[in-house]
Amino acid sequence: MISRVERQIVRELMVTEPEVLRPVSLLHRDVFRQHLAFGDDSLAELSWALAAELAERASEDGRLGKSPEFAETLLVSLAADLIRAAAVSSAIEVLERALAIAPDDPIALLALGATYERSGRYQEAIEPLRTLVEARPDNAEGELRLAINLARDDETEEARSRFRHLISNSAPTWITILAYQELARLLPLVDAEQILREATERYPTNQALRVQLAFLLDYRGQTASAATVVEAICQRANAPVTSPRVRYPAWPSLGLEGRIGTLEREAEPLLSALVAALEARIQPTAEEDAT
Amino acid sequence: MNPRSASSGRRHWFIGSFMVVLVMVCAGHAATDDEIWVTIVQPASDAFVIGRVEVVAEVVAAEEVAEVEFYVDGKAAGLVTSPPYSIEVDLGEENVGHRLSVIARDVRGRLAAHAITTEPVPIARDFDVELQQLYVTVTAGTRRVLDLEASYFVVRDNDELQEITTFATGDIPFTAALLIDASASMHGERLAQATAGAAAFVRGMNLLDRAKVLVYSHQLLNTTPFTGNQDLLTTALSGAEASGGTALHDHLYMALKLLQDRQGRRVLILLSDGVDSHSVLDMDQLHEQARRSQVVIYWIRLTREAGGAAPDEPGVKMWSAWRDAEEFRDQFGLLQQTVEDSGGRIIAVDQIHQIQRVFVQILEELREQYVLGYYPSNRKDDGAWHRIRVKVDRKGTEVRTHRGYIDL
Repeated sequence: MISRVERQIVRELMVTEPEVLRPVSLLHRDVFRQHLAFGDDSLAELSWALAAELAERASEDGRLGKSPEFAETLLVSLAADLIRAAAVSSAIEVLERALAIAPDDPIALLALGATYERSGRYQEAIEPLRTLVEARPDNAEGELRLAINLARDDETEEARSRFRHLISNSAPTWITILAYQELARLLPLVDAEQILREATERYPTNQALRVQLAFLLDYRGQTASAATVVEAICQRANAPVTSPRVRYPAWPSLGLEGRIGTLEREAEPLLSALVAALEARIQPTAEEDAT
Repeated sequence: MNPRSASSGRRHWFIGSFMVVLVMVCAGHAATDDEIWVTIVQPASDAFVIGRVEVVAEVVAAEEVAEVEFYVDGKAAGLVTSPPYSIEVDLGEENVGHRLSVIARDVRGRLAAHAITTEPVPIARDFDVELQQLYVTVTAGTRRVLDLEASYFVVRDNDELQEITTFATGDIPFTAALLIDASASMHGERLAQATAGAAAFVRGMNLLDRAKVLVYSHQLLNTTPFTGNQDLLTTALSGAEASGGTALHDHLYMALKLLQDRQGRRVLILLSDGVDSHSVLDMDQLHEQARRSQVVIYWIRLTREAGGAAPDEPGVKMWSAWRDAEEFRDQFGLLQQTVEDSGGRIIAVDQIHQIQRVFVQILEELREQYVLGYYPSNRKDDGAWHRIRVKVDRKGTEVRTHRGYIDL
């Protein structure tokens, strides 16, 4: 019932005051977040659906000027919250709608690839990630995720090549460490040992690299060397280190918050105007006051 | 390190053996009007004693206790007239057995006595590494069976009947790794119960037992050397805070690796729900490592009811950016198989307050195992897996030991 009333109001607004579509869309995004926080799943679903629809309408409305970036950013932001709420299929739906608006948008492509990965749909992750990397060869996170999923899909040669590219092209540290780890899995044992020795020299505090090296040494019969590496890990217990393997499954590094912040700042005066207009509409007349 | 990997092809190793303890059980009695009971409660009846030792007696009496006399090897060592009834004695540094006894007398002159006898620890007994040692637990229902002789056991190695050449029962010193999950999902009471359980295990260790604590999340958070120092071990446990991801496989490998170089009976006790989220190693790789190490693995598994995850339950699907649902299930299944192959067992915990009791049960089980040794008649040094089967010639018994070894 609430949903029907809301949609009716939105339809009226679209005709009479299209400039409020963006701020109202942001408003519904905030309401969606609140419903999520309180565990009201059905209300949350109504809110994200309405926020998404408003953003899409705003992007299509010629009177506002075409603005795919707003809709795309808002939709990706909704997807991020849906992922956090473990609503993976809804997140994928929202991201696909974002890409329908802006097919080459790097944020939506990376987010869709990462979301497919999080739901174990590794093969489906490849297409958006490849589109992203072909359009933006400097997108290191996109290339890492593409390479990892290619390896899963037995596209070993291309995966190796992309991991090597990341290692030699000063990608962010967490990406380079994962590129070393995943490349080592794809190499013959001798080459894997060499690449892991190089990696542990370059990143001496990373525990997973050392574990991987120790295991490999063990496997190759160098048991004493493996024991030395494991002992060295014990010496460093509780040293504060970040783990790229924990970082990777998290939502990708999109710079989304910055873009949302910009949108919110732009929408703020419009939202204030909307509030003022609504308050004016519901002011009781003198006659009503008297009664 | 595999015990047979030395260049000579043969290595010798030492195994600390065990003590036979004579105990006159009289604890747990309530004294009636004309009774007085005394028990030596420290040192423990199964402890190896050397150097300066505190001997503590507990007296239960209807009347006031007048005195408690302590004797070491038949010679008076001290007299105590009021509680606590304890004295410190110097047993010397020689590795010999001692007889400790106490006589208690109440004000009416009634007497009670108790004695324990310790035996020396036969250290430095050489064993050829070709000797396969099996640590065997025998149960009948929920009860462990403790009265079996060597003749009751039948050992088959790749279906070939083997001659049992060494046989022992009792409390054999062990070296344990306590591998405790302290990832974010263990936050609060779960981790508190886990560390309390591990601490109870540590407090129950005997003088020759050794342990190492490894508290982990996505990284190693806290650890100790292998030690018998209970304070050191419990301190490492008490400092744990739950946070971060879970790299179970990586830390399982590390614990196995560290145990592999230890001598004698080696045990790994894992507390976890068994789900790995962030390791760089897979269970496929570890399964082989565990077989090589011949470490007995006990897994205290936190079930869904205890706040753990359960990828093996029907209808449960887990996936992440690192593993899809099928891989989660496979890895979990391999962990189960690895534990069972090792001769250890999986103990499911539905309520976290059970954790402490389970740790103590494992300790009790370790104290009540048989050790069978045999020289395999069919070794080829070819790296092949040898399947071991042990049977007991007594109706209604079940036998648990490791399921085989790699012929290297």
